[in-house]
Amino acid sequence: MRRLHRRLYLAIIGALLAFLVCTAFVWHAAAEPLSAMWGVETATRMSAAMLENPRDAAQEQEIVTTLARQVHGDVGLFGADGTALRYDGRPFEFTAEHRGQSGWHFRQGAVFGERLSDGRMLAVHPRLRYLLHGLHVLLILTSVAAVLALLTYPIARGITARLARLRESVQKFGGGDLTARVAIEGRDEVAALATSFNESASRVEQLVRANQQLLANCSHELRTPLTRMRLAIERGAEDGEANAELRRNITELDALIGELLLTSRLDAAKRPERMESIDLLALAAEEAAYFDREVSGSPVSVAGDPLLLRRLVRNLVENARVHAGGASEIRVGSTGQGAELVVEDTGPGIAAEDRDRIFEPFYRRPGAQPGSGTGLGLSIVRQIARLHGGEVTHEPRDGGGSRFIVRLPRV
Amino acid sequence: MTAHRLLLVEDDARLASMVSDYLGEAGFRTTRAATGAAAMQLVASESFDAMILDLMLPDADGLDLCRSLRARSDIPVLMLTARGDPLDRVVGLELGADDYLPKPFEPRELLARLRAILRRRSAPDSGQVLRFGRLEIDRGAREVRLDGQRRSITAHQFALLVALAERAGRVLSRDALMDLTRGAELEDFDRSIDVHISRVRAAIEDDPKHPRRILTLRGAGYVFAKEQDR
Repeated sequence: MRRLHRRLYLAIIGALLAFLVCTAFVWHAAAEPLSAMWGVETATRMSAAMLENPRDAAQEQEIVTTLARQVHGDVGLFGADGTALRYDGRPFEFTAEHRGQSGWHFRQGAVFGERLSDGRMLAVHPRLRYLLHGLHVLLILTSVAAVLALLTYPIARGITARLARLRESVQKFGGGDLTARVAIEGRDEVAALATSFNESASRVEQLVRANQQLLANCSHELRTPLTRMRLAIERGAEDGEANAELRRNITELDALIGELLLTSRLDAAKRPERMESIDLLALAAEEAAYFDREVSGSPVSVAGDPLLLRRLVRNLVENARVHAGGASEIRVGSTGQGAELVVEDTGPGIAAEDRDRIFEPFYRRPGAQPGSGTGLGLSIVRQIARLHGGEVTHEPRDGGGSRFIVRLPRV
Repeated sequence: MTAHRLLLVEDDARLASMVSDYLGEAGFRTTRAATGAAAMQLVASESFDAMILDLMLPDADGLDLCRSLRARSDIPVLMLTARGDPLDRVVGLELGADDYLPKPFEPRELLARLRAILRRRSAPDSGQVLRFGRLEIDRGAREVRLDGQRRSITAHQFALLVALAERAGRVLSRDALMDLTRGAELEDFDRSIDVHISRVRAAIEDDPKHPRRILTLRGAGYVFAKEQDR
C-alpha cells in the first residue's frame, strides 16, 4: 500500500539525478578542451612576449619549436604581409582574415593568433580533438532533458490513466448506473481510492435498493388492509351511502399510495426503464376515453415508457376533472422539435404567482377542496415529462381556464 | 361439474380467510398456504386447478416462487401484487404467471379473472387468440368473446375488428381500414366504415355510447385501445 507517493518521489529524484550526472559528464567533457584552450592562449602569449625582443633566426625558431611541443600543435610566425617566417609542424590555413586580429579563429579548424607590436603574428593550430562550443553543450543537455521526459511520461500516464478510468466509473455511477464499479489495479493510493469508491458505491446501491424495497413493502402492507376493507364491504349488508363513501376512500388511499411509490421511483430514475416508439395520439385517446373525453390532432410518434406516458396523460386529465370540471379540449400534434400534448379546461385558472408552484409535490391551490386529488398528480406529470427529456408548462387559456402543454422530443 | 380446487398463497391470514370464504361461496374449494415453502409442498403432494399467488411472502419472493413452480408444473397462476410497480406486471407475466391482479382488488374482478384463466387452461389456444382484458378475439374460430360469452358480428365486421386489434395502440385512418379489410369480405361495401364500427362497438363495448375499446379520433380515424379493463 501507499506506494504511489514513493513512485512519484523516486521518479522525480531519479530524473534529477540523471540530469545531474549527464550535466556533470558534459561539463567534464567540455571542461577538458576548455582548459587546454586556456593553456594554448597562455603559452602563445608568453612566446609572443619573448619574440617582441629582437632575436636572431635560430632563437626565434627555437621559441616556435618549443611552443609547438608545448601545445601539441602546429605553430607559425608570419610577417605582416602573410609570409611564413618561422614554422614548426604541418602547414595550416592562416588567411588575411585571420591576421586581422588576435584571438581564436574557428573558420578552418581552430587557430589562435597573437599579434606582435611590429605587425608580425604568431599563430597556433592546436591538435585538440574535443572542442565544444556552447551550442554543443546546449544541444546535449537538451537531448538529456528530452530523454528524461520520454522516460518519465509512462510513469505519469500510468497514474493518470487509472485516474481517468476511475473518473469514468464515478460519472457512470453519478449518471444513475448504480452497478458501476472500478477495476482495482495495483496496490497504491489510486487502488485504495478505487476500493473506497467501490465500497461507497455498494453502500449507496444497497441504500437505494433498501429504500425502494421499503417503499414496495409499505405499498404492499398498506394495500393488504385496503383489500380486506374492500372484501368486507362487498360481503357486508346493503349497498348504502356509507358503503359508497368507504369505497371512495379506499380508492383514494390506493391512488395516494400508488403515487407516493411512483414519485419516489421517478426521483431515483435517470431514464425510463422501457423505451418504445409510441403513438401519442392513440395513447392519449385511450386515456381520455376513461374520462369520456375525445382527443383531436394528428398522429405523432414519441420514444418513451408507455406506462409512464399513460400516467402523464391520465394525471393531466384527472387534474382538469378535479379542479376545473373536466378537460374542455385535448390535442396532440407535432411541432418543429417534437410532440406536443395540450390539455385545456375552462375552470377558474391559476394565478400568475402560483404557476410554477402547481408542479411542486403536495402544493394545494388556494381555495382547493381538502381531499381533492393526491397533491402529487402534476408533480408526477413534470417528473415523467423531464424523465423523457421534455417539459410541462402552464399558461392561461384564452377566455379563462388553464392550458397545460407537454412537449416531448421526437423519436 | 366438480368444484375447482384452488391454492391460495397469501401471508396475511385475515385476508386469506376472507378471500377463501368469498371464493367458497362462488363454488371454489380453497386450500391456504402462508409461506412459499408450504405452497411448494402442497403443489407437490396435491393437485390444484389454479393458484392465487401473493407477490410478497415472508420467506420468498413471489416471482422466484413462480419461476421454480413453472419448472415443474403448468398450473395456472394468478398473481396478486400491490399496484404501483409497473415492472412487476411485465416480469410476473414473463415468468409464467397467467394473469395479474393489483391490490386492492374488487372481489368480483378476482372471480372474473380466476374464471378466465381456468377457462383458458381448459381450452388451450394456438396463438390465434388476441386477448385484451375481458375481450377475446379468436382468429381461428372467427369469433369474438366478452367474458367468455360469444358476441355475434358479421364476417366483415370481424375482419375490421381484427385489423384494428392487430394494430392496437396505433391510429388507423378510414382509408387504411378500408385497405386492410378489402380483401376479406366484399359485403355491404357501400355502407360507410363508421356504421360498421358502431355495430362492432354494440357487440363488444360495455357501453357503446362511451366506447373504451374502439376510440374515435376526430379527423384522424380510429384506434383500438391497447390497455383495457384496468
